[in-house]
Amino acid sequence: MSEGVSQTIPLRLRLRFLRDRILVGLCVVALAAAVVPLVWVLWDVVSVGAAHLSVEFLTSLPEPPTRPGGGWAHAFLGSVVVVGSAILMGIPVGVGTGIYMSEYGNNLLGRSTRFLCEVMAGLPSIVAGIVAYGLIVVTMGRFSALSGAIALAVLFVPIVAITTQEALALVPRHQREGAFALGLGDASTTLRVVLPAAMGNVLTGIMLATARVAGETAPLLFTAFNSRFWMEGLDQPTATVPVNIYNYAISPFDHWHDQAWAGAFVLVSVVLVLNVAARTLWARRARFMAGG
Amino acid sequence: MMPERMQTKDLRVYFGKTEAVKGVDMEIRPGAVTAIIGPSGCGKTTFLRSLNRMHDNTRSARVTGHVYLGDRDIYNGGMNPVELRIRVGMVFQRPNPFPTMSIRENITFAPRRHGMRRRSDLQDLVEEVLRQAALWDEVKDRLDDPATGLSGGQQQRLCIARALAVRPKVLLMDEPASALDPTATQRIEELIFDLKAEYTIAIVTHNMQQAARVSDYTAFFYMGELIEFGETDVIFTNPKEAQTEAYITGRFG
Repeated sequence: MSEGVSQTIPLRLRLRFLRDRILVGLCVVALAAAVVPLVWVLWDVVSVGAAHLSVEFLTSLPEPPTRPGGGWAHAFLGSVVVVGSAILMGIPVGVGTGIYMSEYGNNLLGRSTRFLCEVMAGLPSIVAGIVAYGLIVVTMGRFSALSGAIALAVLFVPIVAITTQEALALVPRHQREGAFALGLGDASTTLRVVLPAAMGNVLTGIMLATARVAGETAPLLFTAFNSRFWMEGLDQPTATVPVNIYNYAISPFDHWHDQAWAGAFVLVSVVLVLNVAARTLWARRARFMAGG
Repeated sequence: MMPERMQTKDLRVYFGKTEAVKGVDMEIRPGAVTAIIGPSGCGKTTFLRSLNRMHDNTRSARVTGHVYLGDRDIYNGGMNPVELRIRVGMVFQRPNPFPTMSIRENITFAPRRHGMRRRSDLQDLVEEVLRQAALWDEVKDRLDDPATGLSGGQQQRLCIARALAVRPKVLLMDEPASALDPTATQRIEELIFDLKAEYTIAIVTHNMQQAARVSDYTAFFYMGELIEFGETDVIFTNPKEAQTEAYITGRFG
């Protein structure tokens, strides 16, 4: 039967079928090359990291390297403060820039800003650290949580500006016209009609950008620097989770390596939760907009 | 509240180099319904949107000539667009209630921005305009529900109520029933008939039966020009221009 069928299909057509299969096969190989390492890394972090996670690790300060135990509570607090300050500074600037580009940016300034944001979004993160180092650390004469926050904000702003612009651009034009036709000015239209309609996607962009900067290490190495104690203020050196992972991972102590795994596990979990939350919100919002 | 008269003198609208409205002189009489008809692309919507300066937000658009509201020239420095649009309201082809607001907020949003703050005044206003728009009985028990939960026809009546809430003198309607089913269309037409005592109404429509049913005056546009203007009865029974006759008898367009 199959021989009979294959005899009726011309050779050229069979070659085409073969080519189709080869192409799909190559795509599957490429997919595997991309996904397998990711899953592998994730699995390593989860399996090894979770094994070394403990209440002590989450709630206490480090012990000297010669003693076992101790924890990273100061680094968790430090990361929350540094990332939190970065997004507090970055949200008004990023969202404001996005609003400008979307609503008033159909001009040279708007287009150049958009181009700049795209360039900045691809900025090697260590460069953001150098900027904050030059501006803040050198001026203040010491490492500080503030300089770390500014370095992260430099990375955060362009991502939020771009996602905000795109979120606002999704709001249909007839919504704006509806507001204009009622005699509302630019400010009311933008802040009370357009921005609320796009809020879900704006928040999603903020969460994704937060997840991105939360894991940054390079910009913090010579800005927030490090510390082995609770943070003493925004103007003092501060431990953060990514920098701690780096320092512990390159140390010669086995139990420090274990703690680096546990820290990585916590960081990956937080980033994962932020990402999933952001994407769920996005999907729900998209359905809402389609229905409305 | 007195409805006001609008008038255009040598009104031209350009998009880039294309002239979409080519020197129209026309009157929109107070307290009457003026229908604007013509085939697709004839400039009727462009003309309507120039009456409340909706082209201001389109970068490529340019408007020349004069448009008068009463005796004030709305272009050429006579009035700013915000002030104008409070007097000249607009209802769009697709119902566009604000999706993040309730039925009540859709109505009170603009009046509050314009300075009406007292709760009782706003409450009275909501009921008044919803009654005017023949929507009150259908929504009075769910004023705080999202406006997007209404049917298309109800949404469009809400948009009319929302436009009335800023107390305009003139109401511009851009094919307000073209996205609606026949029953909803009939309700909108009845509503237009009820509103004309208090408002000057200009309505763009594709539907000639609709123009004949609701309007007192009819303007026929073709290729960006006003071909003929007159009382609706005359235009539909005894047009002067051959093009008008050809269009209303269905020979083109």
